[in-house]
Amino acid sequence: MAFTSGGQPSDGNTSPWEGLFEQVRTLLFSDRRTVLIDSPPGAGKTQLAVRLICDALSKHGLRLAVVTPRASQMYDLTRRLATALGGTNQPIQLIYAKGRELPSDLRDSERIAVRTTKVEELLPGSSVVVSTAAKLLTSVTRLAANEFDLIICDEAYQLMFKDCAPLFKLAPTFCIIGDPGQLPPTVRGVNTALFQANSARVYWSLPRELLRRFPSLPVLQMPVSMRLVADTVSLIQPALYPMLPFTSGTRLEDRRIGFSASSDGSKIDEVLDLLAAGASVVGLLLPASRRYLDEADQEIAELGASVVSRLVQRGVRWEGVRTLTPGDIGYVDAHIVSGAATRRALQRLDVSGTDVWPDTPEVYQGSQRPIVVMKHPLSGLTRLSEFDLSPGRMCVMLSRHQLGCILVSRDGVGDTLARHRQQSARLLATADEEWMGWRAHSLIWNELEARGRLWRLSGLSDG
Amino acid sequence: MELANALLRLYARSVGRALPVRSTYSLGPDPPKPLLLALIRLVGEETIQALAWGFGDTLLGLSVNWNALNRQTGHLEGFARDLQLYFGASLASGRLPRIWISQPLTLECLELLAVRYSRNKYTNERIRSFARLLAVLVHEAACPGQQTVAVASDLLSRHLVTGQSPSEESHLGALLAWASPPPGQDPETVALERARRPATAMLSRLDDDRVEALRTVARLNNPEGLAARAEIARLLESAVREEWALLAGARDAFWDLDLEVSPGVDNLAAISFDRLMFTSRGRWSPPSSVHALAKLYGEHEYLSTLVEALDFRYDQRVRELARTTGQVIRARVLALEPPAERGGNWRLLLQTLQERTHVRLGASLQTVDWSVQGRVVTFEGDMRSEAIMFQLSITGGIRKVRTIQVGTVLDWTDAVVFNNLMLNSMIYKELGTLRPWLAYGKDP
Repeated sequence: MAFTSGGQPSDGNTSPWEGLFEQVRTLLFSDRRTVLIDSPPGAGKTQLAVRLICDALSKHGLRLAVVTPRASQMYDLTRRLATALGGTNQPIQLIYAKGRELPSDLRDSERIAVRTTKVEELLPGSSVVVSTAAKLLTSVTRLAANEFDLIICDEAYQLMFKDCAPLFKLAPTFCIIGDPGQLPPTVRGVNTALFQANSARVYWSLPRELLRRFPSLPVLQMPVSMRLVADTVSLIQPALYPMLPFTSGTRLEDRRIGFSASSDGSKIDEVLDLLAAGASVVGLLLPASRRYLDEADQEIAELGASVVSRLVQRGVRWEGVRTLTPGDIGYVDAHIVSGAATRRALQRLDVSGTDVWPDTPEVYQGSQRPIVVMKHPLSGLTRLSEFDLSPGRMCVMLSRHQLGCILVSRDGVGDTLARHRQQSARLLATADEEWMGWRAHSLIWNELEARGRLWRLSGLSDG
Repeated sequence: MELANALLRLYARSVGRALPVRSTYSLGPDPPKPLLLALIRLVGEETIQALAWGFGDTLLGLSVNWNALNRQTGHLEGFARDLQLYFGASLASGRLPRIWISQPLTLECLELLAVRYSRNKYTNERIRSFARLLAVLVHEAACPGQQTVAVASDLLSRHLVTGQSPSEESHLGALLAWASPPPGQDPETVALERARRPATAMLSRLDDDRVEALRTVARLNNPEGLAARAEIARLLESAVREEWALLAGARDAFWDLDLEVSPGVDNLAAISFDRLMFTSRGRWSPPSSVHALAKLYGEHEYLSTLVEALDFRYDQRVRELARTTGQVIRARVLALEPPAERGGNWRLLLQTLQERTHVRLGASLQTVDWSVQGRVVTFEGDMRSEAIMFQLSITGGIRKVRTIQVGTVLDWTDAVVFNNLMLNSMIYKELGTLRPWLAYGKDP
């Protein structure tokens, strides 16, 4: 069975990673080796995991576990497994935290053989156990060594090494799948500088630390993004995935934007028409200003809201597919406070519904929308911190859209990047995230400038 | 800098004094005899030239080393003896020891001594065990919420804001100018004057130049050499006495804030005490293996959450500031629903008008008094009212939930996982025993 990028099974048999799938099968099931799979955004990581699980159960009779960082990802994976294993009698077992209520479809699904909060209640034998990494971690001392033949870690770049190391006792082989460009695992209140120079970087993501320790581990790369169009890939791959070459698996004619209403002649509409003409990432810039002390730039919030409003008013369409609703538009902002300002601006412009909900990249990570509006993370800044320059944050913001992304920002980002002098100290032999972020931001900004994608407004009224 | 913090600083500037940003102390009361340690280090190095120590306000010992670049440890002997006696006696009597230092750089100096001497066969056992105790102290000082090492500059910065920028505040002398301004003087002027000296724990520029010039002569074994050593000693002694006075002043200024002691610090002190009993026993060394580092990270993660939750629970000012950043969410109860089916959870529908929130689907929240806990199962914004509605599936505090009235306003924050430390310890102990290849092996 092959799958399309939307996660639905298709009749076709043209999965862009068929060759890679065979390689993974050989490594896992014949050579019994742990394998890492690096994937660009929207390449079908979870679909690959589902196919591997189906194969492991039906052809090899294995007992395996699959872990995800978040419960929502666990639910999504379970649903896909239930569909993929629909016609078989392979048991799916779901283990979840005490007190957590399962979504009703999973609670009622007949395809799920066991739903439990206790590992002691799991069925023995060939089956797949789905869990969050945290739940399996807290149960690990009650499970036997080599309880499973194989463990698959999905979205592994969001998992800390220290949360996975105890799981290594549970299986002889691991398949670790993730997107190396996304945000690293969230650090909560811990001064990681204390752990930087140690022999094990326990707070690093699982794949990153494993590769540091075992450079000869086999790493396979998924070659095609089925979400991002070629124009976006040519922008973000060199900047944010220098070590992971990939192309777009989409066809231009399948990813066209159209509008029911014609332009009113404003700059915003001109930029939207640019999207319709095939540019997938465009920017609207207000003049640089030092007026705003906090992260909330009211004018940028209003500009972002106006863009959303015009998209809705003009009846934006995914040509050949459907007319888009406000729920199809995402709004990503690195700061909670400016997201709140945008919410108020959207309300003033009477954008209907509650679906265009400005939120942070941390929340948008793992999701996709046909159209995304984003506030540039460096907008209005004169000094850049490691947080601002984080390549993972920019990567999430620029890789959620299937059709087009409109960034709103203050002008002068290029100058700020050019003036930037790195302040943060770092220990030798540690990764320099700030430099990587500066490089990525500079490449992207310069490329947008060179392609004529940045449209400058003289003020809000100019929009 | 957060807007609220910037506004507070502006206000502090306008009224000419520091303003408390907490309503409770995050540090428990000093034991009857806290140990104070002041030192002078070499400029640009973590090497100690002079130290002064004592209990409370009483200076007990003072020693200087005219040639700080050599590896002699004679000048450390007195402090080593007193520190070990103090720690041993405190722990033996079931009391948490407390050591006051002026700034974080002092810890770096102590850490260097710990690394240099804890296994050094060229020194004596007293210095080696002293160095091991210093390693314990440095380790302890890094633990969130610890109650043993009181770093004056950090404590003052966490409890008040001044009319200066945060970077200016890192100078303890300048910070004190705002925390306890000399009568009749403008704190800003005093702070600027004090900040002329490069930083605390160092000689002034003039004295440092003089000491450097004297060092060459001091190596000579003749009357000039002896005179040079005496002059270096005099300059260092004078500086370390000033440093001692500054530290004592900082400690006084801290307790003069006259805040209430947070009830939560008892809990933190008990954790500190247990940790010290473990680390100061035998030949403990700082974690370096995978399981020990992972366990330590887990402990820090848990403790930082616990400290935050204790602050939100017991400190009104901290709670209010946290509301401005969205870490605490004030929400009104709109509805309370019993479980839809047997074994299901109660649901609480809440509405917040707060602009900034950290509410996320799947997040586990608890009331700031820790009486009710639940997981966010729905989350929806209402554009019209600018409100956020979210529903909690109640996972803890069912009895309390049943008594909550519709319309009640409650403050919520991220939940702390209790008993986490024991579970954390069990998991990583097993990891250390089993040593799976992917965690401990080497690349072939």
